[in-house]
Amino acid sequence: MNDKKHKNGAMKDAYKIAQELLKDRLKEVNPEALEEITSTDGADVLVVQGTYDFIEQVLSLAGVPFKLVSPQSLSRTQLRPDQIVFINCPGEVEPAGLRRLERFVFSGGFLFTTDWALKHVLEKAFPGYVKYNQKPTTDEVVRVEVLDVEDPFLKSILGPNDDPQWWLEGSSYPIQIVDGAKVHVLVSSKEIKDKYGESPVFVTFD
Amino acid sequence: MIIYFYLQRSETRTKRHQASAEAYLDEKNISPQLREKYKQMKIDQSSLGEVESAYISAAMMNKIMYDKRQYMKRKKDKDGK
Repeated sequence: MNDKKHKNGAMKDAYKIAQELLKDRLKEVNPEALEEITSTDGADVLVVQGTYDFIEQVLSLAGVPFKLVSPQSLSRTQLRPDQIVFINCPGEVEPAGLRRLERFVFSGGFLFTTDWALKHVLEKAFPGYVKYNQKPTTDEVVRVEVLDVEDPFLKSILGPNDDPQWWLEGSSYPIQIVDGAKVHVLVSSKEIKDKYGESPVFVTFD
Repeated sequence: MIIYFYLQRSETRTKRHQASAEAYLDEKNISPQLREKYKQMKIDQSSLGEVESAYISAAMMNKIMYDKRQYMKRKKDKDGK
């Protein structure tokens, strides 16, 4: 087994254990939240296939059902405001698909994107919030800091000793915040800031 | 709402990260009754760093799923009024 396969296998096992730990923790401190999360059904979550990221594997390991579609078919896919749409890197969605995503978000839908979808989806369909800073990363793992520690959900499951690491795949796109008043940073990294000039790792905006 | 993040991998940088993931059960105050389940899942073959990274990543994803549910509840209540 090569090192990459070993690492992928190790992370799959780690995700299975982590998801079980989350369930046990929530069962104890926030059973209502656990019920909310586990009541998600396959019609609630749509995953747009990618080439470099495979969020569907993480969802599968978490026991979250989903429907998988191609980036090309997004323009013909019916989206409902009560859904969550995940777009894997690179997120090369056609213009008609981007317009559908715009309508989806403006009607209340949640859109979740990774890595190059920053440039291919967010900059095009939702300009003026975040953008790629044009300084691609190397393949490396960095230390990250969870900023939203007072969030009730996160507070119930994260501990004071947690010291997470985050993978920046080769040529990942650092996030430049364009509108600081509207973009909320949940996770950041001083290491990314030092190396590439931007610290956000996980951001949200309405 | 729009969410953006990087997917997750891990690296064992410190002695703490290199420790067996069983040590993470201690940090999370997992009861002795539940530990058998994790032994069956072969937790001793994972490092603390791997499970911690997966835990944080899974926590953020679960938070989004939870937030979405809460948002839809509020919207339903508001629309119903």
